Amino acid sequence: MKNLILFIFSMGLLTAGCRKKPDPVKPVIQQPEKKTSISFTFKNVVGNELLSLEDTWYRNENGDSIRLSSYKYYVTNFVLVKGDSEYVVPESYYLIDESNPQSKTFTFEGIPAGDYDKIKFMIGVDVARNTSGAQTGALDPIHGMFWDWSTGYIMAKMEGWSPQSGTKQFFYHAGGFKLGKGAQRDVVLELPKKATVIPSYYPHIIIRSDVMEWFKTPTTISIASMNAVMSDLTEVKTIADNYANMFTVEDVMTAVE
Amino acid sequence: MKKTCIAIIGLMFSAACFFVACKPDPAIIPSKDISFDIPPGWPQPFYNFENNTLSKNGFELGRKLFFDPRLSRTNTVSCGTCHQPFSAFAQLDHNVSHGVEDKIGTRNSPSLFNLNWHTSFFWDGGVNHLEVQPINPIQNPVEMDENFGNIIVKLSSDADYKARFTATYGNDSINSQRILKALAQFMGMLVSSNSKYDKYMRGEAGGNMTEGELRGLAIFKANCAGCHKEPLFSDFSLRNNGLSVTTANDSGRAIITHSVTDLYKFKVPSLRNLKYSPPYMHDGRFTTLNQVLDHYASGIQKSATLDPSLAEGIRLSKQEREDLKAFLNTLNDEDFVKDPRFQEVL
Repeated sequence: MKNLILFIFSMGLLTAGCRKKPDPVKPVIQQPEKKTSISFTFKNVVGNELLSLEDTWYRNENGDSIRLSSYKYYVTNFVLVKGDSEYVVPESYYLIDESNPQSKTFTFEGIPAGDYDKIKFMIGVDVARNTSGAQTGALDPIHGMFWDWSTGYIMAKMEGWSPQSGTKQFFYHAGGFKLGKGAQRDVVLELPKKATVIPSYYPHIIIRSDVMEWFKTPTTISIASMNAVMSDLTEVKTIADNYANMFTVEDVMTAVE
Repeated sequence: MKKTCIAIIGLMFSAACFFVACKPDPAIIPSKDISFDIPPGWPQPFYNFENNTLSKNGFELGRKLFFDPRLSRTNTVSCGTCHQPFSAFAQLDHNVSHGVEDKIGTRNSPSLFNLNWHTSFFWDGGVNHLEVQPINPIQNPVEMDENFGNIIVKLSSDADYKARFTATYGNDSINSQRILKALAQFMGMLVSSNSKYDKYMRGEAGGNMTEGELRGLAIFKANCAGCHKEPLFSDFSLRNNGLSVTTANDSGRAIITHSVTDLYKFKVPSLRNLKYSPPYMHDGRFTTLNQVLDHYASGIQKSATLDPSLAEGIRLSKQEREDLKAFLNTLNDEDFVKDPRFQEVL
């Protein structure tokens, strides 16, 4: 019963989260309608450890010492694949912000039932949302991921310190959206086991994102030669080609009600 | 385990909802007492309030925001500070912008009208949409130096704003998107299409051109219309018009593209309303049209990116120059600069 109330409470918050016309949430306790859903959690890791901002020194592929102060990236345009058919999740725009644990987990509701075996998404923001004016939610410029002088989203951002940098600091702001030259990258991940979506089954996909891939594959990056990246197309491409490889699926868990 | 899972799922639901890109606002409550009309004979605009349904409330909210100094960190500089209605929304007598605490910018604030036809914004064309244009001056440290978080706090404590956001959007929630879309409604409505030239083109009363003005029109077509294309009097391209490089060393479009082929290219400004909007050029270096025409006659600096159409300069006889200036004077739109809809309302 306690869990049921918690669940209803959560559903209420779900409605309240989006600032829309106030739909008064009726405080009537009733059996919630069974819905289908699928959840995602992004775990930013370094090797086998969870990433820790500010207090931990890491060593990248090149052997440079780095410590991160800020780490954010967009994951958008989710597609769930079962066999030959795809379900495009509408309006799926999320900003994964390492400093905000709540940003790393989200849920899509009303997913068509089925056994999904693959997921697709984009790191970054599509061309359309870079060219169609003022956006909101995860795409609100208030999140500091929007260039006001040369329109476009920063798709992924890493900032921190490194003794190998001339300035002792480094920042990578991977931005720019123009087709073929942008910093957005498509990701396709096979699921290690099928995510079964039916009412009362709530799959939860855990995705690992290894931060060190930014420095590694296909191009090893040295902080000494690249400590400040913003809009230089060649440098941004190098970084984006690397972070395109940073995701793996750790597990598909299913909660059964 | 089962129960724990449900609890976790429940928590996830609640956490997730704060980070979903909420769907765009339901369409602005439209009203019939305002409309955006494309002047006869003009091309289709680049922006026609897509996903930003025009309403009188939205326009008036945008006007209030435009003239509100609370959009700056120091509560002293509004959009209207550097874009004055009587100056065709440029800033008279200022070569470059003055921002908060009298900080000096590097570029001349351009006049604002017929913005829905612009395909890019700023002298370097770096911004691609009218709705996101204001983010730059609002956040620029030498202009308004403010952020949306603070602006939302300031506006949310103002009952009049709460009423206006409710009238426009159905509730009093304030976010950057709502602010920017309202500003775009005001700015997009700034249409200047009632100059003597416009009346001449439409065959209306008040559109009788003198012989000198008509000669000037022919000179304009022969020498200027390649870049300053009718009826907007700009093709909105980015070109190097041969200005000497000053100590500011503003490389123009190349700042955006990092391409040497874009060095010293700036967006072609409209020639409408020049009477109200001196000084001229991206850095406001010329205070009179004679100085501008002197530049095209004999001041052009050759460089790799100089626009080919200016390789030989534009040399006019004394009479031709007078005729051209007479024609340019027919592009001034007194109705526009005095339009009561576009004035600051206190």
